[in-house]
Amino acid sequence: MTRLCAPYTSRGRGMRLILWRVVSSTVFKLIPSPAYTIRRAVLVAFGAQLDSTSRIRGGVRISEPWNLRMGRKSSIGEGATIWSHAPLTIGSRTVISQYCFVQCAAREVDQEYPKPIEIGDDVWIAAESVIVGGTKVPNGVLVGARSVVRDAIESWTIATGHPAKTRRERPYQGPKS
Amino acid sequence: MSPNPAPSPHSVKNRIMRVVWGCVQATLFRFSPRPFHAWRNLLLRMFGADLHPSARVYPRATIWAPWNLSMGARATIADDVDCYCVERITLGERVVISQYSYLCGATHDFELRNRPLIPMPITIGAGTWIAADVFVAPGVTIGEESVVGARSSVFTDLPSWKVCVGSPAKPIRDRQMKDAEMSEQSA
Repeated sequence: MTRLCAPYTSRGRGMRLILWRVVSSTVFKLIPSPAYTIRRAVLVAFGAQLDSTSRIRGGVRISEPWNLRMGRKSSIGEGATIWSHAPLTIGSRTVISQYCFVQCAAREVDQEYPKPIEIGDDVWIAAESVIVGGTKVPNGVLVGARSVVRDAIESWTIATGHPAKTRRERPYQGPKS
Repeated sequence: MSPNPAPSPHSVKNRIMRVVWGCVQATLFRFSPRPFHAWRNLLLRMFGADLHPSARVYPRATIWAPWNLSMGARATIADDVDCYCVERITLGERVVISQYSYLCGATHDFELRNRPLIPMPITIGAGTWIAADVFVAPGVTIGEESVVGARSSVFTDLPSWKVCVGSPAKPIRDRQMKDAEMSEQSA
């Protein structure tokens, strides 16, 4: 996985990247899982745009926090891997569950390119799913556990499988109260 | 404002015990030398696990709540397995859970606004081998003497004596033993 992102992470990003690599492999790892505020503060110091109600749990690996944006009450579960080589936007009330793999890159003939990912509001990406670079996950989508999201999905539907396909509607449960 | 999430279904005792267990797991359990299976077995049993004395749990495995874990004789949980036992997880005798597998014991009701937690038990029958990096969904029962191939995702119950692979995992053939049945003593 590290090798995959080598061509463009090591180039031209300078001191900030080196500093983040040092911090993320040492101090950042040692922050206890429920200490959301401390973890958020570290990420914000490295340029992440995180709402003060967003939660990132322990064991989450983020390659470039300055590309990460999270809305209100969104959360990233334990052990998720966020390869944010390109901008990653996460909406409000969205949950990325434990061990998910969000890779803001795509491979084309021996070369990897950074590709942004947009995840909407009220999305639930269930455990161990993969989101491939360049995809947009619209509002209200539920991605089943272990799915691979590669293609376009319609909003307020349930998608599962490899590649993730729409299985049925998800009843609208947007903000009411 | 979005609807508030459902209140935690876990009792105060459960939460305190998980903090205590978390501390034990991060220290005495995690940093125990690999051959010290009896030591880790003892730690788990002190926290209420129902383990046969010969059950093995490797040091880097994560057990969410030992009091919900049952393991038969010579059942094994390998390194980096995450055993999310919100409900009871039962492993029969000689069951092997290989590395990086995830036994996921709870989901959420996504058709209720506050998405309450739904814990569901997982049962794996005697002699079954769950290969590396398999995902086992909540509420799944896997039969006896089956094999689930690496990287499979198990969302439905699986029968006994089958080789199952894929996402979702499906039986592809019978498991037939090429050698003669051994007696219990020499097995």
